[in-house]
Amino acid sequence: MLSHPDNGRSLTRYLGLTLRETSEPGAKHPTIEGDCARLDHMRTTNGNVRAGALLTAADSAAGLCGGLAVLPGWVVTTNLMLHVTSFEHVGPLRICARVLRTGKRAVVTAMHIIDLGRDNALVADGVLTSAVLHPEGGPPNYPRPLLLDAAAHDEWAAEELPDFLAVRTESPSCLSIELNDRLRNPWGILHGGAIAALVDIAAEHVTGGVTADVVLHFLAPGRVGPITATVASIGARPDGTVVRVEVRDSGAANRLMTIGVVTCRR
Amino acid sequence: MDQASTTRYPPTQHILRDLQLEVEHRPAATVTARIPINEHLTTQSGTVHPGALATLVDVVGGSLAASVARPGWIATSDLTLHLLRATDVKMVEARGHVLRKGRTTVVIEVILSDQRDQNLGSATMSFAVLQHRDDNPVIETTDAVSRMSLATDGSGFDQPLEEKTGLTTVDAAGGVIELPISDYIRNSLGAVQGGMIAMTVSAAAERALTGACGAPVEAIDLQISYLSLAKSGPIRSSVQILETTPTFGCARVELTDLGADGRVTTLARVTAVLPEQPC
Repeated sequence: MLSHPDNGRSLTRYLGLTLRETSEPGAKHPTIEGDCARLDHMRTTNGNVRAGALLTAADSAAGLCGGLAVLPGWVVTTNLMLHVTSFEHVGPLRICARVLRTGKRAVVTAMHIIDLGRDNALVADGVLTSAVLHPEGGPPNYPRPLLLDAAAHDEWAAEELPDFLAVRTESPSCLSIELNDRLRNPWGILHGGAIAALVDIAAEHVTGGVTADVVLHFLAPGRVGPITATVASIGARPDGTVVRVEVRDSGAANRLMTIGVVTCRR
Repeated sequence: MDQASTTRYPPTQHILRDLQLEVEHRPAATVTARIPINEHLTTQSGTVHPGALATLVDVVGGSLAASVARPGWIATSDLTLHLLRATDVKMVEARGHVLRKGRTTVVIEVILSDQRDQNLGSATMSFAVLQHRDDNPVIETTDAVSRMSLATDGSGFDQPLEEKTGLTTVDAAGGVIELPISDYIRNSLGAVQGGMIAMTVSAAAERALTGACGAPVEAIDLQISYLSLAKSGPIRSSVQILETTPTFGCARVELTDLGADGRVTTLARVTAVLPEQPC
C-alpha cells in the first residue's frame, strides 16, 4: 500500500468524486453513494460522459462498498459489468452502490448511475464482483461513517481523459499508456478504473462508435508498464459492434492483465 | 481425462442428455464440446436458443474450471454470453480455455462456432474456488485426450426447450415467468444448472422487452451474477426495463426461489434485438 493516505486516490480526484457511506457502519449489506459534479473534462466530442469515466466511478464506489462488507478484510475487483443506458448527460451524476452478497471468498455489489440534472434519469446499470483478501497491513483506515470528499480542484484534473491517461496509438488496433504514479491505486498497482478507461478508449478508437456495454475480467495486476490494449472484432449486431480487448503489461513479460468485451453503438 | 462423476451425474432423464452433448478434454487445460441443433433448440427467427448455448458454455466452463481447481471444488460466480445472430445452424461447437487460475478464482473463456466454423459469439465465466467436500464429484485426470458423449438411446428434444423444462409465463408484459425445479435441470450440486438459469433470464427479458419495444425481440447478450443456489423452486423472475430503442432493448432480471422464502438467486442484464434488423 502506498504510504501517504491520499496516494492512490488521484483517479478519484480526477473524477471529482465524493463518496459517502449511506448505511450504518457494520451493516451486512453496505451502501455507498458517490457524486460527480464536474463532468466537462470527461465528455466526448458528442457531449456524453465517457464510459471509461462512468466505469471508473462505478469501480470506485462499488469497490469501496464491497470492502466495507468484509472488514477487517478488504477486496480487489475481479469483474466489472456496466451497461450505459443513456448518452445525454447533464450532471451532476450520482453513483449508488449496494452489496448484494457477501461470501467468504467474494462480494457481489450492484451499482447504478443516475443523472441528478435530468430528473434522476438512469445513466448506467452494473455489477461489480470482488475477491476477498486479507492485506498484510490491514484494510485502509477510513473514518466511519466513511466520507471521502473530492479534493480541491487540481490543475491536472481538468485534462481530457485520454490526455490524463496519456494514451498513445501503437497501431490501428492497439493503444498504450505508461504506468505513472497517478494511475496507481492505494495498493500501488494500476487502478482498475484506469484499465476500464483504457479499454473504453481503445474500443471506441477501433470501432469509431460509442461504448455502451462493457464486461471486464481483471486477471492480473499491472505493475510495470507500458500497458497495451489490443482490440479484435467479434462481430456486428443490430445494437452495435462487439469487440474483445486484451490488456497486457508489456514490462512484465507481456502478462495478460484484463479481458474486456465491449459493445459500441454506431 | 476421465470424469468419474459421470457415473452418478447426470441421470438418464436430463437436459444434458437431451442436448446430446459430446465433450472432449485435452491435457493442455482446454475443453471442446458440441451439440446438434434441431428446430426445438431454435428461436422464432431460427437462431440457436440462448438457453441451449448457455448450457453448453456452462458445461464447458464448469468442467474446465473443476479440472484446474483440483483438489478444490468450484461455484459459478458469473456468466456472460455475447452472441452473433446466425441461422441454419446444425451444430454448435464450444471451445473453452483458461484465462486465469488463481488461489480463489478461475476465469474461463469460451468461443462458439457452428458447423461452417462461423463465429456464433463468445462467453466468459468466473468461478470461486472452494474447499473440496465429500459430496463433491471427484474429477480424475490423465494426460490423454478423452471424449465422452452424454447422449443415450432415445435422448434428444421432441418439444421446444422452454416447454420441455416446464417454463411457464405468468405475466408476459411484466416478464414474470416461473421454472419448476426437477432433477431434469439440476446440476451435480442439486441446484438448477447455470444454463437453465440463463434460459429463464433470457426468456423473462424477451417477454418484457417484446412488450416494451412493441415487437418480438430475441436475447443476444446475457450478463448473469449467480448469488445463491436455486434448489427448492419454483424460480420466479421479475424484470426492470433499462432501455428501449426501435431496434433493441435492455432489461435487468432478478430471479427468486419461491420455495426458499423468495431468496434472490440471480441478478442479470439482458440485451435483446429485433431479429429482422440488419447489422
